[in-house]
Amino acid sequence: MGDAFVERIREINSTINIRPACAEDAKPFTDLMNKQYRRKKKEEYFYWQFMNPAIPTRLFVAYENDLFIGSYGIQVHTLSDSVLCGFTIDLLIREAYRNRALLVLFEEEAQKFAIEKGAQVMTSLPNLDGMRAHKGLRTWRHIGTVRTYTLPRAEAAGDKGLPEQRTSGEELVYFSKSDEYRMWRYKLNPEYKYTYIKLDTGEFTITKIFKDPVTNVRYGDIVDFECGLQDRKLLRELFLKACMHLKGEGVEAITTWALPHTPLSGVVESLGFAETQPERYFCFKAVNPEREHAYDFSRWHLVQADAEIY
Amino acid sequence: MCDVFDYREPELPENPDQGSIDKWDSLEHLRLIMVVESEFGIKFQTERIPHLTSLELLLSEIEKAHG
Repeated sequence: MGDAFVERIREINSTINIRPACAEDAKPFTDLMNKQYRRKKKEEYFYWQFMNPAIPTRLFVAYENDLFIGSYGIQVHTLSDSVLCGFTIDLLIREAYRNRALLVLFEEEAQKFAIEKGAQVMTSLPNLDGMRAHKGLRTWRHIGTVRTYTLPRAEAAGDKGLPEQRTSGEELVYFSKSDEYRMWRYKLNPEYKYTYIKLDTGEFTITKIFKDPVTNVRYGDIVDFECGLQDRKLLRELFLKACMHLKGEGVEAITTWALPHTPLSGVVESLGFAETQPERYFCFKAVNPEREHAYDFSRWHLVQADAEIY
Repeated sequence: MCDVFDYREPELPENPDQGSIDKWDSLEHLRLIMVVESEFGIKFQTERIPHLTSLELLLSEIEKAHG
């Protein structure tokens, strides 16, 4: 992005002040978010996500005088290969302030924060509009589309064999989740209640029940799990147990994420899950050129809980 | 406009505006503005820029600038 272009963006937005969020921003943030999204959030979400996070996190907010214009958040995660990774969330821009390329200024602040914390790559899992916005920056690439796997009627095929192994899963990169992070992400989450379903051998899944406010359908989501990706038999046992638990809770369908290039996709397909609608768009930017190999989507393993909406 | 949005001229909608061109988002809008400014040797008023969301509005603003 040329200097002249960025300078013009600064000029156009010269009356707008961008700064790190503070507690007083909770109300205008949730008001704007609830105006723009179907899934409503309470102020508790803001305090949990940005005032008491388990990992380095900052929300940048934009104001024109006293009017809240928008926000852009950044978390710094550790990947399974120990690389630190910025992950952007909660992009909001008030309708009347679009066409000013405010995202360029937000992204500059967010990236500065991530780099200060040691991040070498930047990632995001936005919806279609967010993906287009990130691609528009021209420094980000949309490297893969995540489709939801759905098990209709929540009935898992318990006796089906495992398909051919697709990939070993050994080289996959994923977002690491420490016990402390999971405690914050699931136990302290102000919006959703999560349940751990454990095997005797210690592996577990984390599930959530979600009632669609429009269709009233109750979904069971398998949002996260801890189990080696190479052991497909154990993975199958683990996911089968989660499905049986959710079925017992009366859900009408079960969803999860399993990228097609990972061993997990074969496992969930053997249980009767099928790929359905595109859900999220994985966007990536290598800040350190040595990390450019991670533009390859087939190196990634993602779970639903990597997106902040699950 | 064709260059900014990767259109061949016959493919461009009859009255192109932000609603009819998928790629015309916030960033592309500013790229278009800067291309037009440089092409016509003008500078739009900052507060008008977000509202110049169609070819018709752009042409009218160019005429005013050349006024």
